[in-house]
This record gives sequence, structure tokens and C-alpha cells, in this order.
Amino acid sequence: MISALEKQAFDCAPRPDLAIETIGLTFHHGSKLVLDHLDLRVERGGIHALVGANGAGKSTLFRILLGFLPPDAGNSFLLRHDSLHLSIDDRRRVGFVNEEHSLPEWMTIAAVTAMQRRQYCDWNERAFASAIGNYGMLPSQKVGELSRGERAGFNLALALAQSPEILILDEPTLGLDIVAKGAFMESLLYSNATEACTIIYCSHQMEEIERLADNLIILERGRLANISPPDEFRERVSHWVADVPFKGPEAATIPGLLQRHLIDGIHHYLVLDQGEGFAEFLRDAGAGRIRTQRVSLDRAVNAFLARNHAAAGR
Amino acid sequence: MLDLFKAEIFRFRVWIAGYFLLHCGLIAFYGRMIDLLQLPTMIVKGITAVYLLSGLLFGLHQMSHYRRPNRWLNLLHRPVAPRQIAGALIGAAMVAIGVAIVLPMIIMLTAQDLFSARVVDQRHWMLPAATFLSVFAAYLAAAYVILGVRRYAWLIPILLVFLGYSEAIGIGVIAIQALIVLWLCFLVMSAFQPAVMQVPARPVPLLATALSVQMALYLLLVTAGGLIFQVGWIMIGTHPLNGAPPEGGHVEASGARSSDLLMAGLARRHDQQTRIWREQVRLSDPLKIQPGFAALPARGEMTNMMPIMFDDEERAVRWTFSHDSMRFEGRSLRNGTRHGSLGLSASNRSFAQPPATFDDGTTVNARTFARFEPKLERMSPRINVPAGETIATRPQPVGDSVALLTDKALYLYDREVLDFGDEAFPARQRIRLSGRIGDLSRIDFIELLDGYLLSQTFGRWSSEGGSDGVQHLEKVDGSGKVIPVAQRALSNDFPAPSRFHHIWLSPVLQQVYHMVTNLFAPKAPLQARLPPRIPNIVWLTAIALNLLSAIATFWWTTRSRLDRTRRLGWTGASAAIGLPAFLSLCLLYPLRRNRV
Repeated sequence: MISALEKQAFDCAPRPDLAIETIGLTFHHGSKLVLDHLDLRVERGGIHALVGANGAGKSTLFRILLGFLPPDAGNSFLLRHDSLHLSIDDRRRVGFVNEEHSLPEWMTIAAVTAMQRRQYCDWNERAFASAIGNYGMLPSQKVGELSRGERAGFNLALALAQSPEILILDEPTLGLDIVAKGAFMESLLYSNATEACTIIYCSHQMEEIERLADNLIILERGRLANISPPDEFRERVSHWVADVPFKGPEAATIPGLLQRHLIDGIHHYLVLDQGEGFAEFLRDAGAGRIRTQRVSLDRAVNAFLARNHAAAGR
Repeated sequence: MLDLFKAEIFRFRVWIAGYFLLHCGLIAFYGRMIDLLQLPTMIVKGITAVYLLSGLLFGLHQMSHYRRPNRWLNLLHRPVAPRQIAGALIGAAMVAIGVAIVLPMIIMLTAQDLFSARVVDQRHWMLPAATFLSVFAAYLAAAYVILGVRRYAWLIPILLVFLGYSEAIGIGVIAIQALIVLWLCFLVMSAFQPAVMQVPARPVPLLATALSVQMALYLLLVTAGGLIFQVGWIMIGTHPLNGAPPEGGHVEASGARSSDLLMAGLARRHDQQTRIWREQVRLSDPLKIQPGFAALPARGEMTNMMPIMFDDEERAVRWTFSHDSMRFEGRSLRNGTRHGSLGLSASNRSFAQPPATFDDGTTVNARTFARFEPKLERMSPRINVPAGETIATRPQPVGDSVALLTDKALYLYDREVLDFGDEAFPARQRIRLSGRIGDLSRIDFIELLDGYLLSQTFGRWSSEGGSDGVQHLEKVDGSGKVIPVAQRALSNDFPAPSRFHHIWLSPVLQQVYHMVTNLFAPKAPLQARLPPRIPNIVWLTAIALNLLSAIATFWWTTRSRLDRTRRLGWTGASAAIGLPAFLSLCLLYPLRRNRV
């Protein structure tokens, strides 16, 4: 029989198969609740996309995971290590790329690279050369002279060359043009450094997520709203088009409603977790013709994240 | 670490080089016109303030760049210990300060020592080190403002006042500065963690942070509180220094005419002798002497209160005192060449202590008044005071006599003493001071047929927590015998809470402040004062304030959900330290607002 204290310690112990684990993680920014008792378990390996509306707590979660913010309550573990006590070796195993690509502007590419090479004992020159090869940068160029896209690529190349066990990318393509985004994705997708690496990819670009992610994590108001493969999530959202007389059923009565629109007298409903039973519901509401169609991941996620707006409009 | 260090040097290379060149240019320009090593302390403090400002701005700029969340993350999320990263940034700052500020000073000292006849003493070689430590302290304080918790980190630069208020001299200054730098370095290193803007959790950093904040708050409250009180009083229009002073007080006594002051001292006596004295006061032209020096030059101090030099205009020679040779060293004003050494008397013996000099070629050190004789090119001692006494004024002609005040007595000489010395014309009178020289405001006297009627007024610092004002009236007869005539207590023009606000606000921190500012300080005979009589109301106020602070602290710590040990620790600290401890608690652990 184990004591309550031992049970608590057991409950808080990190699981070895997890790259990231948070237990009851809570954080306030001033009086605003940013993370609300977040329980998140991300398994090792693969690419995990993290999405959420602005202010959902994504960047805060990363800062807590990396030990740069102490939580108000709860625990967080990165590669089984308590985030508040990450050692030098733990930091070596975790790569991080943020949206600002904040590298020292006054240093040359060669100088930054040399510094990183000396600091990371598992430096992967091949991965670095491969990633940076997508850009036409000169070693003598200063970081401050690089375009935003080049800086993003350089930052990614540095992170990949560290041979990280986990690579956290916090909206790395934010503000990049389509060409730069393409180059960035090429570097990431075709790097040999990512094979044994867990990638956490935070982005608002659904086409990137659709292309990259094995797993889709949705944060909503500091809580975990979904964790599943992207296709699985997309299957949960269905688009129904029905010829319902008059204004149709009351929003509050529509099961799983995410969004609804009235276009040219035809009702469009985006609903969550509704099977054929939803057709029955529409028929009961007087619908004549009913058809259902698949939705894109972009539309599914947007509708999911905007469902509270729909609720507010009910 | 070395990479980051080099990168940081590279980052500021242009600014460092620019500052270095500008600094060298300014030093070379002013060095051509004046002897920079003989600048008075006030000017040196002004220049030091510019250096400190440079250090502050550099610290703010350097750290605020990294303090942005993503840059901070990029800087610290690497397989290098935070203290090593801090070491790299701080090390680069040390090099920047060294090159931009200290190196030009060393170049100037070396050039002056090797290529000019100007005096360069060993003490001057401490100036670069002292400047470096001061600027580095300012840099660290600014770095802490950026790295520490915003609620209280802005208070830390206030601690830099210890650099200016310390009474230490020479190597003692370096020691004080080194201690301040070590303290600030510890604070910065404690704050240099990934989770920045956090109140330290470990006991030692927490204690260092709390004590620093408490001392800064104490200094702020004492200064700002005192200023607000004085300005408010002046605006009301009843301030003792604003208009007619209160009757019977020290302010009135210190500004009174000598005859009025003597009359006031005699007011309570009504005997025949007193009536005669009153008549004599009325008919006489009373004389007045006040302490002249707050301190005399001390051997080894890095700067001079005033330049220790004078010119022999006949020979166009400038004599500058050297602390190394303890003699004046001559330099021709025509061609800048050396012109020998000037000691005391015909034997050219060295001075026992560095003197203060005056434009007329006279000098005063602790025990000797001397005069330069241009014809003989000799510094001749004129007056020597007994061992254990320190001269407090230049000799002053008073009537037919010459008066000289020391920390123990007033001496009266014949006027001839200035030309022929005290061996030929020894003191006619030695009148012992009735109090301490540091409390003395003025001495007023009239000559009687058989001696002097003399008033000694004390209480110079009574408005700022010094001893109470008092006037002693004495008669000194021809043989030097002192007969007490009257004693008049002067009322305090300022209320006790104002005079002793530095004590009741926190007796413990007042003692700490006193201890730190006097650490490594030499004896200062001219500052000797009687310990003040502190009214009971001041102690009662202090006790009440400490108790209230302790109660408020206990309530606050309960609301802040601190654990039992910290609750008791903070409550105990507030009971001992008082209001600054409670205020520091509020800043360290604010009560949480209702959260949604």
C-alpha cells in the first residue's frame, strides 16, 4: 500500500516515453489566466503541430517548458527533466527556433556558426550544410544584413546542427514570404537531423501543418482542446448543406455546432462529432435536400477555434 | 564563454574606440591647461558623475538588448551555464570600461610622470582603479535594474550613494568600492537566470536582495521625506530659516550680531559685574571666530579638497605638494622644468602632514601654520600647536591680536607672531573649548581691561540630529584662568521628529549606514561631536513603527501565502528593521489580485 505522498510523487513523475509532459500546469499573466491546469503528454518522435488562437498560451507553454517562466502551479517536464531544473546537458538536447530569429545582429554568419559549433558537442556539420545550402548566404555576411527569410533559414540550420532530441519551432515562418517559407520547409523536411528528433511545430499556417504534422495539438484558452492526428481531427468536423425552410433550427438546439451560414437561402452547418444522426436532426427541422462534404484542415481548425464566437451569437 | 565575450567586445568595438579617443582628446586638451591631478574634490566628483553616468547607460543599453524575451531565450538556452554567460557579458563590460575610461587615465598619468615636472604621487596611481570600480559599480547597478524584478530593481542604483558618502580615503576608498562591486556582482549573478524577473528563492540571494532593497528604501525615505517636510514647511512660511528665526534658538544665535549674542548670554545675570560687562559690550567692537576647516588634507587621499599649490610670482615657480616626498615640488612656469623641493624651515625638513595652501603663500596642516618667504625661498613655520591638537582655522587678526582655533582651544597671539613665529611670541592666551569642535558654531568675545569676555556657541548640527545648542559665557583673566559666567541652553528650532527622522525611521539601518560610511575612515578630529541627546519620543516612535511594521508584515505574509519559516523571518526582520522591511516585503511579495 502506498502513502498519499508517494502516490502524489508517482503521479508527478515523468513518463520515459514522453518528450513533453505537463501536469496541472497553470500560469497567470497579471490577472489573466493563460494556462489553465494544462495536462499535456507528447510522445517522443514525429512532428507535433501546436495550434491555437492568439493568447491561447502556446508561447507561454514553450517558455515554461524551457525553464524561462516558473508556473503558478503544476509541473512540466522536457525529456523527463523538470523544466525548472534543466541542466546544461538538457539544454544541449533541446533546439529552439522562435519567430523573431533573434540572433546577434552584429556577428557574422561564420562567427555565429563557429561559436555554436564549439558549444554543441554533437554538432552535425552535414545537417548544417544541408539546411543552409538552400540559401545563398556568405559566411562573411553579418546577421543584421540577412533578410528575414535568410535569418529564419540560418536559425533553423543552427538548431538542426545541434542534433537535438527535441526541436521546438515557435511560429518560425511568421512574416516570411512564400519563397522563404518554401525554403524553410524544404530545409526542415529533408534534413537528416530530424529523423530521430521530436519536433514541436507551432504555427497558424494550416497548409504547413497538413504537410508536416503527425499529430495535431489544439490549445484553447490555456486548455488542451484536442490531441490527435490531423486527419482524425478533420474527420470529426463535417460540413452539412441543407435546404431548411425559413431561418432553420435555433443555434442552441443544433448538436455540435461550430459554424453556420445562410448562403443564397441554403443553410451551411459545420458541426463537430456528428454522424448520420445529424441528417435526421436536419430532416426533423424540415430540411428537404441534405448533403454532407469534407472540410479542409484549415477550415476545421478555424471553425473549431471560432466555435465560441458561434456560441456567443446563439 | 570566450566566444560570447569576444562577440560582445566586437559588438561595442566602435563605441569603445570612440569613447577612448574622445576621452584621450579631452584629457590631453585640459591637461595642457591645468594640472588635472590637482583638481579639487568637487570638480573630481563632477567628472566622476559623468563616468558613472556612462557606466549606467552602458549597463542599461547592454542588458536591455538581451532582456527582450526571445533574445533572452536565445542567449541562455544553450549548453553554457548562466553564470558563464553573465561572466562573458560582464567581462566584456569590464574591458569596455577599462579601455574607454581607465586606459586614457593611465596614459595621462604615465605621460605626466615621465615627460613633465608635475607631481605624480603613488596615491594618484590609485585613481584609475577607483574610477574603474566606481563605473563598474554603476554598470552593475544598471544591469540589475534590467535583470531584476521591476517592482524593486529600480531602487538598487540608490546604493551607489555609498560611493560618494563614504568617509574613507586612499586605499580605504578602493576597499569600499570593491565591497560595493562584490555586493552588486552577487545581486546581478543571482538575477542572471533563465527565469528572470523572479524573486530569489534561495536564502542567501533572497537575504542580499531584501537587505539591498531595504537600505535603498531607507535612504529614499530619509532623503525624500526630509526634503518634502522642509519644502512644505518653507511653503507654509514658518520655517526657522525662512524669515525671523524663533527666539532663543540656535538659528537665531548663529545669525546674531556678536554684541547681541553676548548680551543674550548675560541676560539672566543681574549683578553689578554683569552691568559693567553689558556696558563694555555696548562700547566695544566684539570679535567673532568660526571654525574654518571641516577637514585638513590627509596623506594618501587620492584627491585634494583644494589644490595644494601656490605660486612664487617673483621666480615664476609653481609649488605643488607631493604626498610622496611630503614637500612642495617646484616647477617653472616659464619652461616647465623642475625647480627643486621645498620643505619646512631652513633645514628643509618634510611636512608631518599634507598642508592646505592659500594664495598668500601660507600653509596650514594639523599642527603647523607656515608662511612662504619669497626672498629666502623658504617655508618658515610660524605657529605650532601642541601635540594632540589639530588646527581648525587659519590665524585671524582680531583687534590687536591674532586668533587661532584648534579642535581643543582658542589661542590668542600678538600680531608679531605672523612675522617672527611663536618661539618669539608665544600664545598669550589658551582658552579651552567648552564643547567639541564639530559642534562649535562660533566664538564671540570682547577685550576687557583684565582679559576677555567670551561666548562659545555650540549646536552647529542640532537641526540635523546633532547635539543640542548651548551658549557658554566665560571670563578669561590676564593669567589665562577661565571663570564660567553663564550658560544658556538654546532651544531646538526644528521638531524632534524632523531632527531625528533618520533614527526613528529605522535605528538599525541608521547604524548600518553609519557603519558603512565610516568603514576604513581615518580619525577626523575636526568632526568630533558630542553624541546627541535623543528625546524619548524618538525612541517611542521607532518602537511603535517597528511594532506596527511587524504586525503589518505578519498580516501581509499570511495573505501572500508564504510558508511558516519565511513568515516568521519577515516578521522578525520588520520588528528589527521597521518600515523599510515591511515596504520591501510589499515589493518582493505583492498580494495577488483576483484572477480570472
